[in-house]
Amino acid sequence: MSGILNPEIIALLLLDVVFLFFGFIAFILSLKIALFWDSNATTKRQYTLVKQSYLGAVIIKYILALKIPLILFFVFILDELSTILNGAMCAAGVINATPYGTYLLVLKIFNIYLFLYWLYLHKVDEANELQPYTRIKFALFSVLFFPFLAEIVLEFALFSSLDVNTLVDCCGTIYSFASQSYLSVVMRSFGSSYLVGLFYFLFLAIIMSYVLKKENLFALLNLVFIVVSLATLIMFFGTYIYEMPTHHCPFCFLQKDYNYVGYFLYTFLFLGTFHGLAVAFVPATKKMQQSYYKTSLLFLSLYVLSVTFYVVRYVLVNGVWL
Amino acid sequence: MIELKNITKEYVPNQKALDNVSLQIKEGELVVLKGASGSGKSTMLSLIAALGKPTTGEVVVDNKVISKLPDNFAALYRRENIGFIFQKFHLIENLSVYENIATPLIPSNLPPKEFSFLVQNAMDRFEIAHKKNVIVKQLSGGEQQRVAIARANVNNPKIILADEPTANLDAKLSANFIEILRELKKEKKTIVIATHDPLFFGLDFVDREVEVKNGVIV
Amino acid sequence: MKKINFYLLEYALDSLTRQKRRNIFLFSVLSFIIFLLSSVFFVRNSLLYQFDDAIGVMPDIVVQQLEGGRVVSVEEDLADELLAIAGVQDVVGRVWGYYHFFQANTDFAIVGVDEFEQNSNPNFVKDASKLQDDTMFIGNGVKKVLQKFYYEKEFHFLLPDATNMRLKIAGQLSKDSALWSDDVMLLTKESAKKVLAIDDNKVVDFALFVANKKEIPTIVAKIRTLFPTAKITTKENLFVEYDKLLSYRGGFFLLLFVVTLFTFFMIVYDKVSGVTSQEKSEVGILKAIGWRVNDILQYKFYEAFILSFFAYALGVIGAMFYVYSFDASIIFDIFVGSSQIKPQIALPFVFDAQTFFLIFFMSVPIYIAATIIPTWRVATLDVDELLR
Ligand SMILES: Nc1ncnc2c1ncn2[C@@H]1O[C@H](COP(=O)(O)OP(=O)(O)OP(=O)(O)O)[C@@H](O)[C@H]1O
Ligand SMILES: [Mg+2]
Repeated sequence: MSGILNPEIIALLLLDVVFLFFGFIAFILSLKIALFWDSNATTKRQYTLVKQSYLGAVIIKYILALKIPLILFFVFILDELSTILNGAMCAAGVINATPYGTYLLVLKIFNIYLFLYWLYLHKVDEANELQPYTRIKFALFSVLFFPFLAEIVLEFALFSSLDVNTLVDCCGTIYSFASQSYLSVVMRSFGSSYLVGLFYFLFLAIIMSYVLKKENLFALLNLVFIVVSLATLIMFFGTYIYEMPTHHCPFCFLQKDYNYVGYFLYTFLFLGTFHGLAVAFVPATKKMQQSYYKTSLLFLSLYVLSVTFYVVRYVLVNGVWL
Repeated sequence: MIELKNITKEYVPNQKALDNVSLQIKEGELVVLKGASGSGKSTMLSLIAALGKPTTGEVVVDNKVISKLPDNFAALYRRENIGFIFQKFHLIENLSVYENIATPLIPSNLPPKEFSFLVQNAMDRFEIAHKKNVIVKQLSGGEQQRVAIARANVNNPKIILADEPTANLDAKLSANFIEILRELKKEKKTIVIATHDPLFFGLDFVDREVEVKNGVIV
Repeated sequence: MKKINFYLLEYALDSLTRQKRRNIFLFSVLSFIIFLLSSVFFVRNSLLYQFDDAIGVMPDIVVQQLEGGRVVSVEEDLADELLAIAGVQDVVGRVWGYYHFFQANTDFAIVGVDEFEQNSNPNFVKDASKLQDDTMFIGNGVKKVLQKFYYEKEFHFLLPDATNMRLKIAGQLSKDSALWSDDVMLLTKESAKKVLAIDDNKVVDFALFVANKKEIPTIVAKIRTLFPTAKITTKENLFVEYDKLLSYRGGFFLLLFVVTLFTFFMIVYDKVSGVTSQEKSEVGILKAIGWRVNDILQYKFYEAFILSFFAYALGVIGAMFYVYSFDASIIFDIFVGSSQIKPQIALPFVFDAQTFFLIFFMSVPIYIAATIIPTWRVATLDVDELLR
C-alpha cells in the first residue's frame, strides 16, 4: 500500500470491509424483495422474503448507525492527517490532496441523507399493518447500494493515493478568491452581500411556507438552503468565526481552536434540511409530518442563530464589519 | 368475538391438521374443545393466537383479519389480546417467578409504577407472590402452573387460551384450576380450552363443548 | 428517537449471566484484544507527545555533509557563511557521535556542548558550570551500564589512537528527557572531539535557528544554492518522519490486529450460531407471549452491546494501568526497539479522545456485526419450530 499506514485509516478501511460484506448481503436481499414481494401471497417464497426483510432492515440500520459517527471521525482524521502532509493546515488540504477527496466527502453526506431517508421510510412502513412501502424501500436500497459502493471504493482510492511527500495546498489557497478553483469563480460572480441577503430571505421564506403549509415548497426551499448556507458559510460567516477577512475555509472551524463549532453548525444544518426534505418526501402521517416541520425549523433556527451570533459578536466587540 | 372461517391447515403438504373448519365464539363465552390426541385442538388455539397462519381461510378477531397480519403485528395482537396457558407451561426455567410473569410486559416499556403494579397484581391473584424470587425450575408442578396462569393474565387480556391445562396436574390441583377458571369466567373473559380431560365436561359455567375429530368439528 | 427500554436492558444483562461459560470466554478474549490494541496506541501517543515536547528546543534546520551516504565532518568556519543568510538568527556547529563500549557491547551517544551555547537544552543539565574539559554528564541508562563495570566516579575512554582519556562523572542528565538522553554522554566540545577523533577546526554538522518560522523554506532554498551537496533537514521534516515512523510501526501492529479481529469475528459468529436448545425455547416462548421479531433483535443487540462495551471499557482501563503505571515494557520495544540500554521512561499521561473513539470503532461494532446474522436466524424461526 503506497498510502499512509496510519491506524485511523486502517480502522476506517476495516469498517469499510465490514460494510461491504453486509451491504452486499442487504443488496441481494433487497433485489429479491423488490422483485418478488407480494404481501397477499401465502407462498413459501413470500414467507422467506418476510424473514429476509428483517435481516435487510437490521443491516441497513447497522450501517447507518455507524455511518453517522464515522463521518465525524472521518473529518477528524483528515484534520489530523493535515499535520503530516506538507502544506496542509486542515482537512481541506487533505481532501484536495487527491482528486477523490471532494467527491468522497460530498458523496458521504449525500449517502447519509439517503440512508436516513430510508430509515424514515422504513419506520412509516413498519408502523402500517399493510406494509405498503416494503417493496419501494427495498427497491430504493438496491439503487442506494451503488452510491454506497462508490463511497467505499473512493475511500480506498483516497487513502491509498495519499502521498506524504507531495506538497498540498492549504485551505487558504483552495478557497481564496484569487485562485482559479470553480468554487471561487462561482463565489466571485455573486457579491457576498447579495448571497447573505438571499440566505436570510430563504430562511424567512421557509418559515412562511410552514405557516402556509406548502410542503413541496418547504422541501424545495430547504434544498436551496443547503447550497446557499454552505456558500455563505465559506464566503461570509466563516470569516467572522475566524475573525479574518481573507480566511475562507469550511474545515478549519472544525478544529479545537474554534471550539469544534463546525461540528455543531454542520449537524444543525443537516438535521434542519433533512427534516425539511422529509416533510415532502416521507409518506408519513400528519402527526409525524408536523414533527418533521418542527424539527426542521428548530435546527434551521439554531443554525441561523449560531452563524449570526458570530457576526454580531464581532461587530459589537470591534465596532466594524470585516 | 372470534371467528374461524373455512380454515384448512396443513403443516405437511396434503396432510390436513384442520379441514375446512368454521367456528364462532362470542365475547365472554367459555368454550371447551375436546377430541382425541392429534385431532387438531392445539392447532385451532395457535391459529386464534396468530402463532401460525392457516393454509386457507381466515381468522377474524374483533372484526380484524388476524391471520393476515405481518409477524410484528401478530405479536402485538398477542401481547394486547391473548393470554396463553401452554400445555408444558413454557416458562423460562432459569428466571424467577417475578421475572417470568413480567416478560410479556417488557417490550411495552411501561412506566415503572405501572409495570410493577401489574406484575404484583398478577402474583397476588394467583397466589404465587410468596415465591416471587424463586427460580421457576425449583417450583412444583402446581406452582409452575400458577406462574403460567399469572403470566397469561398479567396484561389483562380479553381472551384466555389454555392447552391441556390439567395434563400435568393431580386431581386436587386440577380442581383448583377449575376454580380459577370460574373466576376468570366471572370477569367476562373469552376463554377457549383444549382438553380431553373429562373433568371439564358438563361443568355448569361452560357455555359450549365443541368436539374435534380428525381436523373436523363434529 | 425511541426511548431506551431499561427493562429489556436488564433482561439482556440477566440473560448474559445465564450463558456464563460462553460469555465469559468471549468477554475475556475481546477484552484482551482490546487491551493489547489500546496499549499500543497509548504508547504511541505518549511518544509523540514527548517528541512534541522535545522538538521545541531542537534547531529549526540541520545542515550536514554526506559522503557515500555517511555524515562527514565539515569546516567550522562555514558557520559564518550560514549566519550571513538573511533570517538566520544563530548557527551552532555540533559535535556528536557514538562511542562503542566493547565490554558491554553497546554504544553510547557522545554529545559535545559549549557552556556558552545559548541553544543547548536547558533541561539537560542542572549545574552546567560543572561541565569542564575533564568532566562529563551521563544519562540514566549509561550510568547503569557503567555501574556494572564499577565506573562510579570516572570513566576511561579508549581513544582511536589506542590511548586512554579519563573523565570524571560530574552528574546525571535529567530523567524527564530520558527518551533522548538515556544513552547520552555529555562532554565539552573539546573532549568530545578527542573521543570522536574529529579535527580541532571541524564539526559534525550545523544547527540553524531561525527567528521567523515562515522564512524556513526560503532559507532552505538559499542553503541549497550555497551547498548543493548538503543534506538539509528541517524540524518539520523530523516531526513528520517521526510521526510516520510511529504510525507505521503502530500500523503494522494494527494489520496483525485486523487478522486477529477477523479470527475473533469467526469465533463470535460460531459461538453465537451454536444456539442451545434452551435459548431456542426461550426465544420461542418470548415470541409466543407477544414479543415481536424486532423486540428479540433488540434484546440480542443489547446483549452484544453490553458484552462488547464492557470488554472495551475493561481493555482500555487495563491498558491505561499497564502503560502508565507499569511502563508497558513489551509494547514499548515495538516502537523504540530493544537495545542494551533500555530507556526507563515514565510515559507521560496523554488523554486523547480520538484514540478512545478509534479503539471503540475497531471493537464494539465488529463484535456486534458478528452477531447480526446468527441472531436474525433465531429471531425469525417459527414459534412452532422453537417450541417443539
Ligand atoms: N409443527 C407441526 N409440524 C407438523 N405437523 C404438526 C405440527 N403440529 C401439529 N402437527 C400435526 O397436526 C395434527 C394436529 O395436531 P394438534 O397438535 O393440533 O392435535 P391436538 O388435538 O392438540 O392433539 P393433542 O391432544 O395430542 O395435543 C397432528 O396430526 C400433528 O401431528
Ligand atoms: Mg395439543
